Amino acid sequence: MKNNNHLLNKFTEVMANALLGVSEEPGLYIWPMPYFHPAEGNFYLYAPKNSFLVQLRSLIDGLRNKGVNDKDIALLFKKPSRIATLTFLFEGMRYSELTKEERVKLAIDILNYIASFRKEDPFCEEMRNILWDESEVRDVLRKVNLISIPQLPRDKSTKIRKLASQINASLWLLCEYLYFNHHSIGHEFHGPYRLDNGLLLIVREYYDLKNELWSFSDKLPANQITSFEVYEKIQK
Amino acid sequence: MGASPGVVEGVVQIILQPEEVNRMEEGKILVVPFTNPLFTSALLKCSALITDEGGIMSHGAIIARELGIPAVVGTKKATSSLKDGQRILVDGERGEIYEK
Repeated sequence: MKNNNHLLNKFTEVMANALLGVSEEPGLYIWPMPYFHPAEGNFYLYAPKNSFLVQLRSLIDGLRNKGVNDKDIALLFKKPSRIATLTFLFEGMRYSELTKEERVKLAIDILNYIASFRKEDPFCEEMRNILWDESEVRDVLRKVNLISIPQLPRDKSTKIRKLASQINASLWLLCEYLYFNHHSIGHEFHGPYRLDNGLLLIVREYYDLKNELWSFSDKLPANQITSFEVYEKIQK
Repeated sequence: MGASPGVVEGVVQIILQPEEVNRMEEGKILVVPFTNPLFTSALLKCSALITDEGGIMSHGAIIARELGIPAVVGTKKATSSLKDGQRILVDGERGEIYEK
């Protein structure tokens, strides 16, 4: 089947370029392991997932038949990085019961869902993950209390920097605990958003932390934690 | 190679398998073949990280930078050269390890 889908072609191009950059590195040297190899890659994890792919296809078709539009289907996944984890399935798709036409259609659907969140740059080619427009950024910043670290005494600012870093690291590790290799199911880092005066905003959202699969999740104080960091004088 | 900056002096704790992570003691220097999410609890306790395998984009390197602890990765032989309880200094900027 000839493919004329711009998104699918772009995805293939982006993946090829990314893999070219890491192809000489052993898998353990990269996290999460993005290498694709029939013997060493993620193939063995996903080849048995035939039923999942068939169910996913049928679920999407079912929602469409009930009149749910693609944007709302995308929102069911909550965040684009979570949808992006599904692209790992592309590798094992050809071993599923789906026909080639169905597989291509499913791949295009998944990429469309990602693109519905990241409107301008669905695969973050510009090294930015932009999910909010300017007004959304302004609205969000109105609701948060940012601590101005440069104005604090040095010992205090160092402590706060370290604490913020450790909170982020701990939440990242918690997501790995919950979702292992596919930890991005539990977090979305987005930005940098350009603010006034050359400032940059980075947002780190950790969500679905109280995942019912794990008994200890009940003990967590929050299901969602979002960190807002504003940086100045960033040099490339 | 250095993967996360900082200098820390401390005591070596070698963990060869994820099943051994409960042995990890707070503040020790974690020495492992490599890391993955199964090493999480040990990573949260260590004061520095040393791995046999990995590069600056490996799991351990990314987590060490986030945690703000020094890391030297891809040493090839740390788990076989260092000993449990040994006192060392880790320089994560220069990627060097010194016996104290």
